Amino acid sequence: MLGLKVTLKAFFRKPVTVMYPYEKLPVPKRGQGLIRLRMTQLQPYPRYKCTGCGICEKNCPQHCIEVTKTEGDRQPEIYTVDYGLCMFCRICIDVCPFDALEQTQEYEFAGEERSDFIRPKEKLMMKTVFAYSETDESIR
Amino acid sequence: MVWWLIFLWALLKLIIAFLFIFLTALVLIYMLRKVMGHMQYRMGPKHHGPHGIWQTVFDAIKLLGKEDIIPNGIDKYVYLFAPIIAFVPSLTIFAFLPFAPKVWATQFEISLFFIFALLGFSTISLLMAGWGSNNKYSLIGGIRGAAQLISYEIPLILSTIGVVIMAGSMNLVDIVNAQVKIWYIVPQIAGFIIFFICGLAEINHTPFDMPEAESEIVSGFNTEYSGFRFAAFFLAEFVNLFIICALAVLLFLGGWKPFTNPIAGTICFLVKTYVLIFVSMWVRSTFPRFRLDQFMDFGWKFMLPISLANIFITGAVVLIVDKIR
Amino acid sequence: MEDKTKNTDTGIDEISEINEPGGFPKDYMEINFGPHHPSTHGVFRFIARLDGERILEVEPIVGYLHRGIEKIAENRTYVQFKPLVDRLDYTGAMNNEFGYCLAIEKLMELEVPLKAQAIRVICAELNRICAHEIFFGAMGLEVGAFTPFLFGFRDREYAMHLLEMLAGGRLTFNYFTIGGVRQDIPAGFYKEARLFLKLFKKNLAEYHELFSGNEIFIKRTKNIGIISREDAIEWSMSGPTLRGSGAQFDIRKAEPYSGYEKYDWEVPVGANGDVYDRYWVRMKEMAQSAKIIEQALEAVPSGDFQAKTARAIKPPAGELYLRVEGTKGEVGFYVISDGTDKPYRMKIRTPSFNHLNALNYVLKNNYIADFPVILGSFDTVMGSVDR
Repeated sequence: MLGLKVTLKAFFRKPVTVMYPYEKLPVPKRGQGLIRLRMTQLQPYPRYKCTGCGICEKNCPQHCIEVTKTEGDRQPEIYTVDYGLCMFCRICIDVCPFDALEQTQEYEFAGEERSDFIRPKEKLMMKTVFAYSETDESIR
Repeated sequence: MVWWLIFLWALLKLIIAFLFIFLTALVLIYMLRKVMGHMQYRMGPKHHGPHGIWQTVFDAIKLLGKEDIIPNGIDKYVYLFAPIIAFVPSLTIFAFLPFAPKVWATQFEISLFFIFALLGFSTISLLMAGWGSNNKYSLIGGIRGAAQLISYEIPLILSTIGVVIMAGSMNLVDIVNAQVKIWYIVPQIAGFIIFFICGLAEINHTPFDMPEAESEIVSGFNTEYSGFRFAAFFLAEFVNLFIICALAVLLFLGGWKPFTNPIAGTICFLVKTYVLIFVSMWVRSTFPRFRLDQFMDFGWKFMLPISLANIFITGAVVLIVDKIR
Repeated sequence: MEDKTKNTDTGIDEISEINEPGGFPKDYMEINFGPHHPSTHGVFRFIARLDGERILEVEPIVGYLHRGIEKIAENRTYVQFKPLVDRLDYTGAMNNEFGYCLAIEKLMELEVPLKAQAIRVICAELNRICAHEIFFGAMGLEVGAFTPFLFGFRDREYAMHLLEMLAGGRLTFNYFTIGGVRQDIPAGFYKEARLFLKLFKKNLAEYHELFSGNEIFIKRTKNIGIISREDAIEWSMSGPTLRGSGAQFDIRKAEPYSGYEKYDWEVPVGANGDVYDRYWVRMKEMAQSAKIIEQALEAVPSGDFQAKTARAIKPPAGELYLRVEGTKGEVGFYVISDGTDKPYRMKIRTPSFNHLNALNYVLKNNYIADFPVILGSFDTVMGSVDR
């Protein structure tokens, strides 16, 4: 019979629902999301830090990265990630010797066809307006 | 000329009762989802309409538009008539419930007895649904339901005999009018508790919803029904809930007293009924369900002796009080 | 065509068992609880032979979630295989990673720094709380109450938020590395974790009020599915299922790893071996996990969070079996390495597979209404059974 008291108390308290997609919970800073290539600011024009060495391609357990090097320059010509196969294990970020990959917090990348998930290097991240958390907020 | 006017007036009252039933069922389903949601730290429906008011309407429209799937190998007429037999008696009972002085469809001297006779139809519809679908899960659900409903009908009816003895008639209006001095819940507290619990068991409400237990037998006798046939069972369950709570209010909680004005009396009656419905939804959110043999034990070994003792004591007290007077 | 899944050698003759001589001739009903079912904890199928409401025999059929993890292991390096180990028992993934990393480290004779050990213990115990919350919710659903499910998941959300702050994921993490953990504890974690622990203790008391003391629940679960202590050991059960039957055996106390011997906590043990005891053991374990996390948070030592290893992990040739206490029982890794960077054979021993073997023995002569309750008390997860 004590259970009745608990449910009645719960009836008058505020519900904990978050009305997605109208409100969203803040994702912590380390939350798993899509990966993207880092750019440097040192040269006259921004360049990718990636040199196209292909270590991430060899180490990916799911074989979802495809890298080709540009002739005569240390930049990737083709850098494609298949997010349909990726399991977000972040091994590619860990093994990169040039620190060229970083992880974002974007998790809303649903698509309508399989080809939506194969992203070339210009479109590794879809929405540039996704708000990234700089700090970890409480969800209470 | 007079007879077809009377006929038209009766038809109009029945149509109003019919519309009221549908409205009640929609409101009750919405209320269940909201109440259960808030008791579980979540909100119920929110999207359609302000606070999700039109959710049930859209659900009903969706169910009407679904494909009518009829499984193979069924017992044809048994399967097709089961939802109708579940739904129609509940509609008929509404014609006998008095809401306020002069606000009812019809009344006669043994209306309480007739209401219980109609409530017994739900047993047959359960068995028909269980047997008619060509499905072992439904069969188990149907047999369980038949066993449960038969064994809980007896204490249900016996617990109201105490009220009938005290009021002296089976006409519902007379019973309410006899509760002038004190509501019958006070002298008949045992009867009220037994009536409420057995009433919940009659309509397959948790904690007695074994026939449609979702854990083991995937919706029991309901499994093979889709579209509007399922809606018929579903609506029938909620209409039955309203009927049981309304009967409890009329028999034990004084009906529309202390108001005699039709409008105020109706509102008072509805408020009391909805309080009891809230209590039943509160119970639904909290308790797990019994196992079949455990609540057969509960029904035969506990409810039945108490209701018999209740009748005995009430009869004895009424006789003694009469002799003294 | 003959149905090859039918077990024709049952060992008992059911028809003669349910027919009395001279009575009405009866036959049993064979019903299939298929892979799609609301209460079989994943894709699990079994065929039950019923006499009315009594179960005569149960024949479980597994394999609907088989992904060939052990075969994949032979073609991936140790580091590449680590994320797949999460997906075995996905309700408490850190414990699987714990076993894997400890096995490889023992083969390589690598020492893990103390700070990493403390962080690993915090993660594993938080994940144990998550897994037992799922058990609490699912137990409520088996018995028919809808509310405990949502209460359990509400608290699980807070624990998963903590883990997301630390490790990056909510269900599968890939946080442990061979030699330590991947990243250090972020700022603001200690405060959030202490708030969580305070809230969690209050909510546990609420669960007991709502559900554990309920008369209907007690009637549904007491004296149901009794497994005696000797039978449990014979069927090689482990974890809370074994401890509910009275055997005091917890791998964290018997063969301590990663600093568990430094903390002060107890192992709850049940008395009768029925469903209620197994439920109660898990509830108490949640409270003990909270105690361990509290002690670990006070005393996280300073230092490295990762040991220095070579770029490529190449354990010397040899074989090793190491077991840890997962959320459901004993998770064991038997690694055969031949000196290269890919394992020669990786055999994984999971608790749920062994528990399902005992299903026929426990369910015999119980009612069909007891089967979800008993299966829920074993707390199987099909990712673990089928691998």
